[in-house]
Amino acid sequence: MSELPVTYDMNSRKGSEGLNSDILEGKSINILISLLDGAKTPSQLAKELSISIVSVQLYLKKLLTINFVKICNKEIVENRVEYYYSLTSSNLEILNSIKETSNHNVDEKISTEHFVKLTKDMLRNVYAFNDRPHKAKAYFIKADDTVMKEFKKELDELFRKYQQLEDKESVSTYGFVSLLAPYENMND
Amino acid sequence: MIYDILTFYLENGLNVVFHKIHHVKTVSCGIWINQGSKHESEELNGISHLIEHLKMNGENDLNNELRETINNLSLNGVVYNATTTKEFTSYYFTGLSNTFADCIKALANMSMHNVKFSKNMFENEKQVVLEEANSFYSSFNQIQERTGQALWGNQDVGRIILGSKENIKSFKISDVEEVIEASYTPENSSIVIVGNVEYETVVDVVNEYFSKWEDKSTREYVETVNKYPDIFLSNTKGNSTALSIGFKVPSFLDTNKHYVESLANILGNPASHSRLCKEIRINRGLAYNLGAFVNLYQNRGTLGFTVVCSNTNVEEVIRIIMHEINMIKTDEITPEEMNRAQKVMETTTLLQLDNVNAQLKFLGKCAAYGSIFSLEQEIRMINKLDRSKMSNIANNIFKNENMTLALIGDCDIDRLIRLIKLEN
Repeated sequence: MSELPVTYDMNSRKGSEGLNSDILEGKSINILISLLDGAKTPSQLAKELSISIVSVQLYLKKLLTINFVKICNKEIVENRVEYYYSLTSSNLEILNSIKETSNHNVDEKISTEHFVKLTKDMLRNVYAFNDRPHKAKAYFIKADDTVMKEFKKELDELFRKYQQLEDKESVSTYGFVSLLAPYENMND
Repeated sequence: MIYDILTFYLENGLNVVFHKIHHVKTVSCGIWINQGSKHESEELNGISHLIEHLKMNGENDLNNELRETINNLSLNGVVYNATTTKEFTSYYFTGLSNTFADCIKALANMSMHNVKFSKNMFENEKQVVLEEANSFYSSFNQIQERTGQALWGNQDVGRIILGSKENIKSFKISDVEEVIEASYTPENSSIVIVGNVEYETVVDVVNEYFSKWEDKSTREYVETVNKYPDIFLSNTKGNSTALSIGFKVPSFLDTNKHYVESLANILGNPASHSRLCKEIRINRGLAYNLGAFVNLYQNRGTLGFTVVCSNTNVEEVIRIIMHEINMIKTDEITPEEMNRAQKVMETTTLLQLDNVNAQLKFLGKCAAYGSIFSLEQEIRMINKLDRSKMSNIANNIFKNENMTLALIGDCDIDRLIRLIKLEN
């Protein structure tokens, strides 16, 4: 039997449904991104994501089932045990794995809050690792949609090129966040 | 009137509790061993229950004395049974007062001497327990235990009493003997006697049969439970779903336990005009089978609201449960609701008072916890409940961090889980 206190029966998912899309549609992606910061307890995740502990427990079980997260520690205080969860492998492998095997576009599924968080973290590193390659730039233009569609194709190509640069043996980790979108109706 | 509950200890540490009831012609007596599923390791989960079966089996080829005693008791109309819980195992006999000595003799034999079992008997009893497990795990009856398991984790009072079928199959005679050796000790046990026998008789008979029990050390146990609730989900194909919304509540020994029972009654008693019964069954016809349960243990408790309904009704049922729980935190409980809950609890307790076997079980649980209450005192406490305190108690219990979901059925959990949230 597993160390887990309670089992989540994955058979409760209908067979035709893809697990990754299931994860993306739930809170799991938010939990994964939150765990990029390091190991956390279900109560910490619940507080951070403003969801109930039972919700966090449900999605942690899904992520445990597919081996995306693991119990990395437990703390016993006054005979009460609390488990710490962490990502099973390096941060980016997890996110890329979801992206590569899902029909959905993970970029669109990541909440605004987490997109901002990822970007903030990277911006902080622009200054922290000033001697290493970095680029942070924003530029706003007036342009037709057709022109932008063409530019997006080039951006996709650049993104593919960036992905191909991955060397899993390397000790360095880089992030490339792209954001191209209309800059309109900003008061909504 | 004086309610006499007397306790004494034998030299070997055995606790004896005696409650004399003058107006009856019967006596109930039993032994409570502090050995239940919470004391088991994960691998041996279920073994306390198997031991109960083995010890209670009056057909042990290796124990002729027990066979003869049980046969004699049976011929004299004595009824007997045994129970395994999360926290203790109990064996008890009820018969006419003149059978008292033989009942104690049988209890002594079971607890002290009935420790060797033939291979044939052992395997046969495992089969019986496996059949019991098959029935349990294929039914919705497991929902209460699953609620506790989700609340506390698969440990302590969260452990399932029966254990898994894999565990049951794997148990060996040596496992059984080791657990008996470590837990069936005088200092870990209580004898309870309720009925019309004289105090001197009780002392003489108990001393005669139990003073020979060797004073051995008992295995140690450190309680550990999950700090925050988990969740239990299991898929079963079919049209119906069993669900339970559970909460952590104070223990059996806590002075607020009757307030918890009142809340359970007001919200979920299926036999009275409870709020959930009214909204789910009477007004909307969403379910037939619903109710509330309160399982109180030595150091903690579980309150649950259970419903068995069609898969298509689950979402609406959960919405109603959440709404009604939110409401009871802010709405005042009416005098009529409070009075009804108190009367239901008083009646239930009075029914226990009229039954020596029910009194025995209540005192046995108290003895196992090392605290002696009486049912008469329970009634006094129920009648003293203060309606103005209910809202505060409800707010302390009905919190998101105290809440769990156990669900057995075929539902879209991603939709349902969003509904399992209270207004804090």
